Amino acid sequence: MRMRDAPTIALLCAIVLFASPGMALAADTAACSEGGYFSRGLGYGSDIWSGHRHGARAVLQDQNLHLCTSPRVGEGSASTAWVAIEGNIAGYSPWNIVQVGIGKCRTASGCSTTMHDIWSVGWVEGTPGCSGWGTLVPSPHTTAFYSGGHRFTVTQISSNKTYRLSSYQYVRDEDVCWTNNFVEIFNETWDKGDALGGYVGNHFWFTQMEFQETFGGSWRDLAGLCNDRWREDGGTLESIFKCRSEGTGAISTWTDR
Amino acid sequence: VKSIVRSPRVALIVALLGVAGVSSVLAANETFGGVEPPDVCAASEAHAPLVADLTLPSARLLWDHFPDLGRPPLLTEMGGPIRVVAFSGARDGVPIVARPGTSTPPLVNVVCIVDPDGEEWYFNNVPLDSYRP
Repeated sequence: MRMRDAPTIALLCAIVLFASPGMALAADTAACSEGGYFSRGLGYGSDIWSGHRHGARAVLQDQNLHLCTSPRVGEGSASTAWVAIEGNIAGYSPWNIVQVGIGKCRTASGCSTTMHDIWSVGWVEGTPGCSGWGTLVPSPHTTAFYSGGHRFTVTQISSNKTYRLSSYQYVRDEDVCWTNNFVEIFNETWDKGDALGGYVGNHFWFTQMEFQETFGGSWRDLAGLCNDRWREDGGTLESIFKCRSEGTGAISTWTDR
Repeated sequence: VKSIVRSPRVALIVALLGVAGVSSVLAANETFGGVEPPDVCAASEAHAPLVADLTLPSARLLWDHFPDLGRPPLLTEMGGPIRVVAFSGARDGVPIVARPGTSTPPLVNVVCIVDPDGEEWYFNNVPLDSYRP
């Protein structure tokens, strides 16, 4: 009896495992393996390297992003989603950035292992306009709240360089030395084991992706393109990290291990 | 399959698998939730030698100790007191944001500054040879 039924039981077990939501969730993460802070990104980036981008906004889906498992002491990891304006001048570091979004991370100060709204600003010594500033590495500053599912906005609010990040944070013009010319809307992680975006059964969605080409101008749709895939070392982003155009102004991202 | 489903043993197996599935959900979402991470200075310490750990009554004194640190408004107008922790050759004890075609040096100096509001700011590639205790 036991032997005769074993294949059927095995089949049933396989079906249960396959159908289990828990298994689907577990499949988007893996053990932490890189010591932390090795960043990867996936999403949309401006395809221009001249002109200005004065505002960017998008609705970031309310989703609990996932971190890698079994971290060693001091090992960093993160899973975030951002809307950003950058002074991403060719030949200079993309650390010239103001960004706002949602996410979680381990180890780095100013972040939390539960989902929060986050923001950041950075600049790089040597970028035109930034001489004598040193280099401020953009790192997440965590707010006391979480508003996933809502629109996140980075907007230049004056003719100089003061930016408003959603409705709660300002980056003063005195603290922006670079010139805006780039929009980026993307997921970011710090460890290969982190989930970049959602997972197979539940993609992470960016919708209503828009930008301002002129200061104070109207909002225009961004193309729903997955043209931004990067690793910190300039290598090719692993194929398990997926992105799909969902029509004008929308993309979805997920990790498929 | 139907006859198997009626078996109490298989029902038990299914129940156990169901519990395992729930456990997986919790592991993926909550295992580390609620555990506050150490600050970035501690993270840097895991990677690099400590150069300085100072508390200054005013940010204006920063350049007495770090003459080669940049002077952006964010720092020159910071006020005090501030805490300054510097590491040499950290593996970027901060989140790295890079893009295609760029490469971040694996070893850089890091200066971590905690402002009067408790916000932390990280400067890298700071020349520390001129550090004055």
